[in-house]
Amino acid sequence: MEPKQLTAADYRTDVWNDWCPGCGNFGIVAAMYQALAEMKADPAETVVISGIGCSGKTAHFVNTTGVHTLHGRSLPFAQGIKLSNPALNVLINAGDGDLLGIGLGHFVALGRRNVDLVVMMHDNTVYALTKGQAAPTLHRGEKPKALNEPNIQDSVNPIALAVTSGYTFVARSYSSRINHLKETIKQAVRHKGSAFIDILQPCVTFDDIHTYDYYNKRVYELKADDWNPIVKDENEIQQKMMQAIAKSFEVDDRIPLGVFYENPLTPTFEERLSEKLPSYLGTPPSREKIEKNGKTIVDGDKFVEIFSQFIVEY
Amino acid sequence: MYYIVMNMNCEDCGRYIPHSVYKYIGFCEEQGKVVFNEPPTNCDTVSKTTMDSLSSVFGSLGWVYCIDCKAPIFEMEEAVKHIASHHLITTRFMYDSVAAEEVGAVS
Amino acid sequence: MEELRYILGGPQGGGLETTSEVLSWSFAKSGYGILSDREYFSNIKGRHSYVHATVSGTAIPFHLSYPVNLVGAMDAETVFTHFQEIDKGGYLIYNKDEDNAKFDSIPSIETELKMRLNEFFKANGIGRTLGELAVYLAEKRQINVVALGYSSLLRELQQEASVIAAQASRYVSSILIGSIASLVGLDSSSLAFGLERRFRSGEMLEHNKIFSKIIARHIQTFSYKRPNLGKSSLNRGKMVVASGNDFVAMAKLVGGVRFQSYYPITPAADESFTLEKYEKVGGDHDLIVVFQTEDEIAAVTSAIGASLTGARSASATSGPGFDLMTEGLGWAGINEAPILVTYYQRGGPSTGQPTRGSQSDLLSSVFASHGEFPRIVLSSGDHSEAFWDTIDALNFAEMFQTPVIHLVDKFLANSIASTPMPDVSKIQVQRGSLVKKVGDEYHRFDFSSSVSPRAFIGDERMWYTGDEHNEIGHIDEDSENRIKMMTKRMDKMNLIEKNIPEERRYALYGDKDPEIVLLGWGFIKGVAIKALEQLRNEGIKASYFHIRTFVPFPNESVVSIFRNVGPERVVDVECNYEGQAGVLVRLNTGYQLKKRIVKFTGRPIYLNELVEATKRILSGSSQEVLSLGA
Repeated sequence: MEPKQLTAADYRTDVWNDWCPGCGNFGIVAAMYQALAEMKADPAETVVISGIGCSGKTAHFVNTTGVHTLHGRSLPFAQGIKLSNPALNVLINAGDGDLLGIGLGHFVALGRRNVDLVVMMHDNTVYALTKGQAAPTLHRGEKPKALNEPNIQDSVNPIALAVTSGYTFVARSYSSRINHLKETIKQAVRHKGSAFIDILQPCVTFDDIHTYDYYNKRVYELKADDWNPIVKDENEIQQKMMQAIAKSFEVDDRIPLGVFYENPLTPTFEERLSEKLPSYLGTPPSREKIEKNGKTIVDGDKFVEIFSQFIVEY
Repeated sequence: MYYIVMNMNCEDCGRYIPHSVYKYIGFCEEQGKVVFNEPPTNCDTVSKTTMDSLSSVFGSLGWVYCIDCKAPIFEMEEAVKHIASHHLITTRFMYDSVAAEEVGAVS
Repeated sequence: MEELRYILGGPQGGGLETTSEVLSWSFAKSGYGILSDREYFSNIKGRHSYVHATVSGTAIPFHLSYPVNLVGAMDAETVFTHFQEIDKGGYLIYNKDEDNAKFDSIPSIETELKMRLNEFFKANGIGRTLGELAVYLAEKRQINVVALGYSSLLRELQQEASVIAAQASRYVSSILIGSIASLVGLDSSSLAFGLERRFRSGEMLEHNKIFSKIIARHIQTFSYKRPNLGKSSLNRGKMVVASGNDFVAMAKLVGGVRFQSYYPITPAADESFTLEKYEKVGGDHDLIVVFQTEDEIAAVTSAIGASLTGARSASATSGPGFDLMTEGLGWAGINEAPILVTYYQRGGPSTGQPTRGSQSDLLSSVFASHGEFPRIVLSSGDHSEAFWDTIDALNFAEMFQTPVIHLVDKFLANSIASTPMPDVSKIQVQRGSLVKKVGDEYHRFDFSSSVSPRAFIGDERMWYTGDEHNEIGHIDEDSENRIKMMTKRMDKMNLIEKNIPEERRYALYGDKDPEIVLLGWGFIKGVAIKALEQLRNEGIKASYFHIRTFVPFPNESVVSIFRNVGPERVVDVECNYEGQAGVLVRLNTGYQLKKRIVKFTGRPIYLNELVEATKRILSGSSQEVLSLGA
């Protein structure tokens, strides 16, 4: 039987969406519903993984498999899932505090591996679920209303960090440009390797600086005629990285949206694994048969054969 | 095709920017002041929600919010149903500088 | 002699590992049982490190003891550190080229030891040099001193073979191998077997064979009576000769682990190293992904992720790493995710004694992570137990869908033991309640049973969350749901209590009607069982109660021990300060252990000190703190 074509509405669960009215996240899930429908994503083979914070609930609002993990740990959970079943389509939704604060070590480590998955960062500059403290994306000197004093810590540049960490697809989008975001998500999913999308997203309750108006006035889309982020040759990697980093420091008055860096040449972690373990992609850990009628597949003879180095016969 | 809201209280007017929780509190863009869901006799402006404006919202933002249902709506057809049931649909919320102070740390 | 006990010492990185491995394999090949413990500093190169072994042809040894029959020294520091441990009539093999070395000018000797040596040398009128000490040992201690000129031996070898320059240091280990083999009379084919296993083939193997003959010629010039182990009376057959790390790794591969994540930490990392070496498992289509993560948080959470997709998954760590894993452990608990953490205990708190053994993480493993969730905590006493406990742990994790912590310790991890081949045909692989093709109606946390119907990510659509959730896996804070879900989850403990029988939780050794009962766990097992034998020879009836599972706890058996022999005759024996198993005994049964023998120096408990301490307890002492071992 031909499976019925799922619509965007089919990718929405009936879990009540309890984000604040007007939340910047609405646009993110809306774009996901549409992107998943357009990509005909199989709900059982698509996994939305989230951390803690407002973004954490994303896993419950999308009608695919959802794994709502720990604060800062969405990436290692996701890698365990993806590496033991590389056929899965894995989308991570995590906040800026989650990825760049408590989970920064994991963020850098994923880039080094280039595991084939998508990281969607909900970039709202604040820790909303705990009353709006400064997130690592909030610039020094800024004072959203929940802060008593202006922020005295510098911000991380997520795009530059992703590029230097080794992510092979690095983009920025904005939750209020749903078509742009949807297309960026689809591009990121199609990309082979670790893809990072910095998604600008106003927190309507705690951040009175980075509002819809603020972003609407500043964002612009990078256009193909004067911007080429794609690495075509390995010799180009460094130059394209430098170009992306320079562009990423263009903020405040004008905020570019689009793909900053795209490198289809670096092998994915899965490819690196299958190079030394040729059966890996065909029969990954989750698909391995480990028993036969309740017995281990390693019988006595095989045990002796495998572990001969440890066996001494007297 | 126009969809014209029939029962015109402030709540039904396109220029009414409702408070996100209390729907009878709102900001009237026309008059530039806070209003409390007053009957239309107080003003002579008429506002309509059109299918065109609705579909352009879905094309840009991707959602509208139903204050009655306290939930975002992601599909046009569903939004139409809420409007038909006289639900208050919006994409904008009246500025509230004090709500943040009323929220506890919740995570 | 019933058993040969030896110490081999030298600078870390100086070839000791090779010496120990070759001798272990050679002794095993010629039919002897062996236990060989490695003691070392947290240092890469240069600090004193030593191997302490027991070899026996009458029973497979699982204990270490002092004094030893032989000390083989690669350097002067070894002699200064261990000369007092040699038995009368024992042997010292050392490098006479270093006769002028003075203990107080060796920087790697710790200040405290220098002070103790200073007093000893003064009291006994010995000069400060190695040469003078050797004379003293030969004359005053009746020790057979085998003084060899290591450099002239090496020159002799160079005349017969071209020494490989880059591996020159390796030949120093050959000196000890050759000397011991010759002194003990190891047959040449067994020695060749050990060498071949270590060097496989090629020049180094050939050189070692030549070198061992040269050394044997020199050893023959000493007229001392030879240590005589006698012919082995052990059963013939296949033995596994491996470290505890390797035993656990083998069990994980055979038991079906297909995803292991880890962050390098002593003394756990060797297990993951071995797994990586066997990543192809043995078949063309079998494999294990060994994932080196950025920290232990990532190690445990990626292993949990893998478990959700249906891969049997595990991690291995020790104290500092386990601390980082505790939040992840709770996530596995609330999400009923099967996961095995092999916990190699070392000395704590904090960095503590990273290369030393300990049993001080018992309470941490039983109570780790906030909130309440079911768990199983197993503990292994020897290499064979470590193998079978790993198999059980993997089954328990999936049968009950909950985290399992498997406690081992550094003593077990780093000691090489010979153990009869495990009968792998007895291995059961029990994967618990699995479902497939359920479709939209699938509820991962269905209320109908405490063990939920488990589908793998990729086969069905499902939800997981670290928040309290409903049957579907969505966040739910309703009171009634909370009661039902907590009760469902915690009810696993009843199921675990019911399904892991009392006799699986402990083992009892020794006299049926004992005057005294030693109660212990982990690596205490081997030495305690041997102590019973010695005590019996001295007319003392004793038994050893060995705890194998802490959660679930062997309540009934512990209670009956206390009832039968009385609380004043049960002695808590542990390698920690507080007597942590004793704390759990009290917590679970209400009985307080009033006597205890503890050791927290990071060195294992030795047979002689345990026997002596037990006798002192019998004569009224209530606490003995043990201290033997360099």
